[in-house]
Amino acid sequence: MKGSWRRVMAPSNHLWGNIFKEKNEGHRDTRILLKKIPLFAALTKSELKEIVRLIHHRQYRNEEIIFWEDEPGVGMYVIQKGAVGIYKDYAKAEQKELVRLEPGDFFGEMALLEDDFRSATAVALGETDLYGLTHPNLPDLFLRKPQLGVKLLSTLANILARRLRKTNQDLQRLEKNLPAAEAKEKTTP
Amino acid sequence: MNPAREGRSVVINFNRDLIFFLFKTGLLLLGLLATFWILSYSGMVLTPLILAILLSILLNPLVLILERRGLNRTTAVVLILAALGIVLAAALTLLAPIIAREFKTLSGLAQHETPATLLDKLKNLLQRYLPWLKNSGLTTQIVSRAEKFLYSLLNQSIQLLPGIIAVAIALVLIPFMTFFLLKDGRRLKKSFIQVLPNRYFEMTVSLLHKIDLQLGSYIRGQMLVSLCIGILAITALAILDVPYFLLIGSAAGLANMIPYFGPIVGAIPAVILNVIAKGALGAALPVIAAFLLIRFIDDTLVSPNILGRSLKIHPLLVIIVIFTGGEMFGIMGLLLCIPVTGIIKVTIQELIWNFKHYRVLRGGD
Repeated sequence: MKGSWRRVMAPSNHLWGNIFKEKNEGHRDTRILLKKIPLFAALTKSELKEIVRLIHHRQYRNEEIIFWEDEPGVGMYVIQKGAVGIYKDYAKAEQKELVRLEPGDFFGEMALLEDDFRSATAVALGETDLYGLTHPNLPDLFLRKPQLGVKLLSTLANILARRLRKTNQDLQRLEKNLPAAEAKEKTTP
Repeated sequence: MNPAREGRSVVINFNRDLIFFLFKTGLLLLGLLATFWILSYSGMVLTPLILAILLSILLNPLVLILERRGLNRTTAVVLILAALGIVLAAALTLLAPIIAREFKTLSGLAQHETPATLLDKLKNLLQRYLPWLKNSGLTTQIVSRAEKFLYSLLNQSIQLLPGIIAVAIALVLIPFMTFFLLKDGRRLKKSFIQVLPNRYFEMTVSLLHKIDLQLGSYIRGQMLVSLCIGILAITALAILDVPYFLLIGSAAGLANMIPYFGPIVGAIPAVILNVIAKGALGAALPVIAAFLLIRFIDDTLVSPNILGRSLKIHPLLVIIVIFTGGEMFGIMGLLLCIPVTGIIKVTIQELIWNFKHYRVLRGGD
């Protein structure tokens, strides 16, 4: 009897197979990639499966815009393949590349926390595959899986705290070096 | 270029782009309306689909609560639908004797009181309470108008009979569609977003999310308010011993989904039936008072607490869509036109906001 039940539920049985089919086929690689990202490193296998179900897989051509500076942000991206350039004032004379990101890197994570505008433009450099996690998915996810929500938010808070500390240190170093740099500038003809 | 002139040209460009964008959006909406209109002729699918969408919006928070308790989505959806089915079946079993009695009395009334005897009763009532109408010939006019109305009502109810098959099909389709919308709704949305070009990706995610939020709270709010009004109306009419209180009270709750007109439409049958049943015009007063009290409770307690700051639709627009909806799609059109207008209004609002903030809609990139 057990065998016949399995046969009814098997993916080859169109109706029931479609309703109860395992949807995680082919998601293993994505899970492995996500596990390497600091934001998702602490998640268990089943929690990662939840994230994989939510993320969008997007493919970009060379120099295709991922998002524009000053446009509302909806989420973060993880690079699966290719590279991404982050620019200030993109496509203007004063364009400046802030950073170049590679597979495994992630960007735009601030948009997961706030409904604010993007502070820079992200551009695909070469054929690029990205995974996008958008903030509209999060309230639902946090309601369904509060523990996963706490883990995700506390890791994000840790990452942001580390960045803030580093920014503060950079600022202090700059302030310390500023008088010397100004003096050097004055003496240079 | 002169900065002032440059500023002006930017404004002109912006306005021209906005007009062009609104024109394109208008065309898209017209296309959607045309599709909707064509589909309405295969209404056996469209009406259950709209009802299933509304039901899935209503039940989604409950599914989320069960998921939070560790159940997977399919099990949660099956449990919620089964619970709903059991509640409905129990309610029907409990209320069936009362409803059957009401229908029995109604058919008894129909046997003893033909439209002609009902009209005679109305004529006598008018002449007894308003004797000054006797000489002016107004009584005859009122009675002939009422006659026309009554016969057209009877004709319409006969026309409704073939709809019973459609109702039977809808009763099978609605739970089936609701199950799949609840279970696969997220996946359907994701698949839709997946096929969009990259430049529309972020904008569409944001648009769909905002529409979801506003519409979900609007529809859940409206349905909850209607439920409250229905319960209040049934209770009040039962206390006042109005005949068929259960049917009329439920209809009043349902009619409440139509803003401004709903409460009036809900009250009229109760007033008329109470007057006929008690045989005195004075019997109208307690029913009118009860409906005014319900209106007061709705305006001061129910709606402000449940609907809050949710979507508001201008009264003029309400009148237009109610008449158009009623004319095009009958009773279902009357009930569904406001939620559908809500969907269109939220979409336009959000599209305009997105137009201002995403350059892809202004012709950039």
